[in-house]
Amino acid sequence: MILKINNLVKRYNEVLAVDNVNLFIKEGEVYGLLGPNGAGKTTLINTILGLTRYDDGSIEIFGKDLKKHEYEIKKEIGIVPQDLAIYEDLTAYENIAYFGRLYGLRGNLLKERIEEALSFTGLWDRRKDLPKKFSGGMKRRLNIACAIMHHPKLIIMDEPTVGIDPQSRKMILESVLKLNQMGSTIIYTSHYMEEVEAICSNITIVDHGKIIARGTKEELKAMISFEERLNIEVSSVNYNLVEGLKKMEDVKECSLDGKKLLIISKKNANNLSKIIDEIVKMGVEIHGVNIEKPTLEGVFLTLTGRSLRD
Amino acid sequence: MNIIYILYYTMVRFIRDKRGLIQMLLFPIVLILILGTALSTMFNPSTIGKTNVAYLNLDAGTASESFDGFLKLEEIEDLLIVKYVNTYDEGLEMIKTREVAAMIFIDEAYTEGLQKNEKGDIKVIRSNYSSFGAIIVNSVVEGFVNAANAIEATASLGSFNSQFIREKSINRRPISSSGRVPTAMDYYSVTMLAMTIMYGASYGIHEIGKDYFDSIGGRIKASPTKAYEMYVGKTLGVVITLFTQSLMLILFTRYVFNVNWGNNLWLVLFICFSLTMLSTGIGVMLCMVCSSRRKASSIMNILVPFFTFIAGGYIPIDNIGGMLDKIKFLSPNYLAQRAIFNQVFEGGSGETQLFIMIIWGMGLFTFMASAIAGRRQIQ
Repeated sequence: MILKINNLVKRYNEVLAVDNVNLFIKEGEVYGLLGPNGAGKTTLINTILGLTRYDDGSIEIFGKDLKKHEYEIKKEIGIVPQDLAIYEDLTAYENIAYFGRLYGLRGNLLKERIEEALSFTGLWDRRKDLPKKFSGGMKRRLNIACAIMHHPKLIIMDEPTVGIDPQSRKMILESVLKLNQMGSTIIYTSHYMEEVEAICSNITIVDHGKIIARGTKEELKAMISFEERLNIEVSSVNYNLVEGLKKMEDVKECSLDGKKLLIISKKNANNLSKIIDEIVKMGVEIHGVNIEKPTLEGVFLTLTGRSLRD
Repeated sequence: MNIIYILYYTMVRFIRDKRGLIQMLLFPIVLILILGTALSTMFNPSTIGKTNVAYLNLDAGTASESFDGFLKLEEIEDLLIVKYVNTYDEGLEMIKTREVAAMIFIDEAYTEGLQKNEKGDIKVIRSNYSSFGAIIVNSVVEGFVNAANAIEATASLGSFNSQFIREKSINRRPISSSGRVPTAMDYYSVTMLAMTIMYGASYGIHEIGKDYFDSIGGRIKASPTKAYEMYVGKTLGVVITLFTQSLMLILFTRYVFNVNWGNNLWLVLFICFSLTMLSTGIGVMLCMVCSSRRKASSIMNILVPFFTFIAGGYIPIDNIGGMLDKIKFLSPNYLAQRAIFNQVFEGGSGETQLFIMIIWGMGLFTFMASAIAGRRQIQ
């Protein structure tokens, strides 16, 4: 395990920001941390980074106790904060040089790492420019470059794609996977479910300071997939058809919404072909079929009763 | 080593901040030029000139003749312009119209009174509008009366050989104010320098605030950099930048405005360095206590003009009395200004050292308060 959090508790006066959290992350994972604003995600990350004191529990990173080996552990962690953490009045090169030196890099090794980080994020050609001349996406990439130049074993990325264009987002997501392939373990938080679905192998959902679910994305989806939903667009409305479908085996519900039929069947009913046959038999044309699959957004909604962006 | 890198990059960022540089260098230079030129007359010693006095002598005796002769002495004519009047009322009118500062009046019984060993008065009728001129007239008359009394006294003691011998008793030693009192340019160079250094507290607020409360602070605190390295590096970066700017201001005013910085520039620079430390300390302390860059800056923007005002930075208000006279010692500007003026124009003394020690004491307090407030911030 690269990170072991046991029974972590953090209070702000009467507010329980982290409520008895246990978290275990294996080396080599891209681990998703999901939760709405105020869920306790940032507090959790800040405790891992040693920025916030905790009241109870323990944190072990790289097999070492955080409190006892804070500076040793920090050398091996890279942080990509949600808000840009770069100096606008230092060039891209100087920004990385500055943070590289804070991580103890010197001389030729520092120069190599600066070039590597800037090339990795596609900013080498702009190394002499001040970030104030950069686009939002380029600033985000520099924000990442500053976090990876020291080859950290663990990289914590807190909403690294907020407010950027699709191309930069794609580049950042590809970078995350590349960094992971190069050996870094990544903790990734985002509001964008599709990002988490695309890159994370394991996911933990946090709400009100508690972990409310964890597992692979398939495991999480399985938690809510106790039924199957079909959306069928038809040429005409036929109430006999609706009644007929309702009487079919494994169909739990059938309703009409304009010219759309919503059919809910039991899990693993495998009755799509039978339903289509029934519709055709009634002389109704089918214009489209949509099978609704469970999503992480649905999982979150089901578990917390609210959307991630609430 | 981290301290040196932090210091270096802090200075690089300040040097690139053209707007800040203009504000810290050009602004005080323009202010010194404007105030030093516009208010120069306030600082130039003016000549007293001669005092106009009306003179009415109604006595026809020998005693008042002596006084007539006295008024015509060269030394007295250097001080007084005597305007002879014919009537008492004419003299009073001249006083009312401010034509003269006073009137010397000798009545008709003066000589006779003296001869009878009775009272003989030379009256000085004074004007309120020119009290200084009246004092001069009074002094001249007193000088004559004292001499006359002395001769009279020695005569009554039986010394009949009393002789009136005029000797050159006035030893003229012209006093030059040059280099002894500050000119307007000297004065405002010192006060505007102190004000500029105090405004430099905003550097401390900006730097510590950014690296403590902003997201960049999170990145730094998440790095293996120790808190004291960051604190010392940033503080030194601010202090050296601010001190360099002070040095540039001093050199510029010395060679362009011909400002007198005394013959011990090193001590003046040390005073500036001390104030720089205190200014940075105040900025950092405010930032830590307020937990907000904006709040700390707002407070500093109120404090600096206030400190400058009570220190007489805009207009000299020394010995004004009242509350201001008591609270001026709380102003870092005042302490630094007094230390510099004392050193440059009064030859330096224990007072300069005392003010420097107070500045360092206050600086130490601000850094300790910042450290305590900083510890409370970590939750």
